[in-house]
Amino acid sequence: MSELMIGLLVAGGAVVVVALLVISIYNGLIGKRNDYKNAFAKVDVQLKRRYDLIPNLVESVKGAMAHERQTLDAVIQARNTAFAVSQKAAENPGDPEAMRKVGEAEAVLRGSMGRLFALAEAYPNLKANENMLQLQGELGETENRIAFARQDFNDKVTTYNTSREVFPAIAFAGMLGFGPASLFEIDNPEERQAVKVKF
Amino acid sequence: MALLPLWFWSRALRLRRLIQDLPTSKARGVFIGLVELKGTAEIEEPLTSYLAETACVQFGWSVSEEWRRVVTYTVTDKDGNSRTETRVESGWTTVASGGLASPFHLVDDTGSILVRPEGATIEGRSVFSETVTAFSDLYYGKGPPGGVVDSTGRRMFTESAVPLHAPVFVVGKARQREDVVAAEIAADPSAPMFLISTRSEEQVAGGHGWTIWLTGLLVLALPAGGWAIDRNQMGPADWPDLLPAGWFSLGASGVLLVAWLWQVFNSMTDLRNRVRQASSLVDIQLKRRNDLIPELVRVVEAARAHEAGAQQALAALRANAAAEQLTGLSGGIMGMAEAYPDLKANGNFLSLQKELADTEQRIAMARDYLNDAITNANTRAERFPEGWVASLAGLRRLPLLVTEGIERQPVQVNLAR
Repeated sequence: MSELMIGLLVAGGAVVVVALLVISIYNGLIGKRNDYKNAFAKVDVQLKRRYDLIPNLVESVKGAMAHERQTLDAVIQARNTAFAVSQKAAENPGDPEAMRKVGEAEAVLRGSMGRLFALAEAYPNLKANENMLQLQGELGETENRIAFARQDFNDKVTTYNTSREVFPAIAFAGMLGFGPASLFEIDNPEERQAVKVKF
Repeated sequence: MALLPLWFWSRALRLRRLIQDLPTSKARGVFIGLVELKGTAEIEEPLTSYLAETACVQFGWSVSEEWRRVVTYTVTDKDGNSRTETRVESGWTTVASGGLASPFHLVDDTGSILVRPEGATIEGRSVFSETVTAFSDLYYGKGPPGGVVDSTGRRMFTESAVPLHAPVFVVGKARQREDVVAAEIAADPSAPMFLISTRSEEQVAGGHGWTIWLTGLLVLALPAGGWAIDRNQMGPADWPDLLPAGWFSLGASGVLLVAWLWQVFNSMTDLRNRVRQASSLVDIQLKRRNDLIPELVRVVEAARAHEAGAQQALAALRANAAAEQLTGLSGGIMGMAEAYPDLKANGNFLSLQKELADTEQRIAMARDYLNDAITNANTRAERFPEGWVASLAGLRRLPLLVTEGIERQPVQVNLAR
């Protein structure tokens, strides 16, 4: 009787210990699986950031470029007008109408020069050139962020895979529905090739 | 009883294998995950250690005081006679301790990376060790007032530190920094270890090696010894009585063998997955290049075109202004046109060149890491008897990444179009 009891107790204890072990591994794997799914979502967040940010940056740089060109063109335009008007005035120096036009043209020229200077001196950072440098920097940083997010995803996937493949988890992880997770991989092999820079 | 050394034994075995299996990353090639780094500890504003007063990034000190007392106690022997005996007890008691650690930069030949030491196991170098009496200035100068009961008036001052510029060996988890787009090493509960050591990788692994030997011997000796003591408390042992002790040791070796198989199988699985991860890390860098460089080239091209257009306009303005005798304004126009800052597409090209070199460097470091991981895995797979466990864990020999024929040729720089 007592020997049977002891035997039963030992067997029961062993079952409880194994059950606790399986439960703790199960919960651990659940946590790690959610970790890598979350890390995947974070890669998506960075890809979305790139998708949203870069076109806007490009637009703003384009805007800065166009603004600079327009300002320069306006100066040239105003100068040409002023030149033509003053030539006319020189042919007929006494004409008050011609002299008034010269004054007007000079005022336009002054205005456009002022805008050019506002661009060039008061806001040197607004120059298209600086904008483009910033865009280049932001492009690099964006790709770094994406690479970091992917590395984090890989780390989480590797942690999960290792946890399900080590002993004793390997004995039942598959049965509990924990399949292997795949790492980041380039789909299109051409993307692995070196990029040719050509101007 | 024997379970504790067994636990220490398998822990040391696991950590030593992890340290040996982890390829050393370069500071600039650090990826998010568990990394191993070697470099020097650098910091802009170094800490000054408390006792040695050396410049450092981390220090820990302690002061202990010696005590000695005579204990009197009464014993009663078999015949019921009591007598008084004395015994001298002595020891050291820690009376004060402290320390400080600051985030520092680990610098190697490729760059630097921030290390946040909170939560790390720090193995400093001993920078101060002195035992003094109360006559020394140090005694109360850097030690606390008062003293322990039965003090002998001797205090021991010790300090260990990670000095500035000292070579450090770091194993820990890298994560993305919050302030800038870069990695940093910091404590992570999921990391198997976070170590900052002034010892070399070989010394750290060797330290674990000693633990493995000593605890292994303990595991073998303890059950047999325990049994023998228990058995022989009645009287002196005879040879046949000691025979079961041998069986205990044999049983303990069996346990050690199973534990070894378990640890090695798991570490091989870990290593196999690390190689796969390393291979994917290369892909990440290739993808980065593929996505980034063409876009950068487009930007630089636009910058160049814009510069060309703007320069033409400016040149026309200057030429006209110089050629014409306009009203008073003409001089002003010319001055302004001259003063207009140059548009420098050159800067864009420089930035592109830097980014190109950086990108290729990242790829090269990822490939180096992969090759190191493969080499470690191959070494494990070929060793005896680990190789058998390796094949059990699905760790197969893998070829290293090598360049294809044409890429080995020297590069011809051709600047003519």
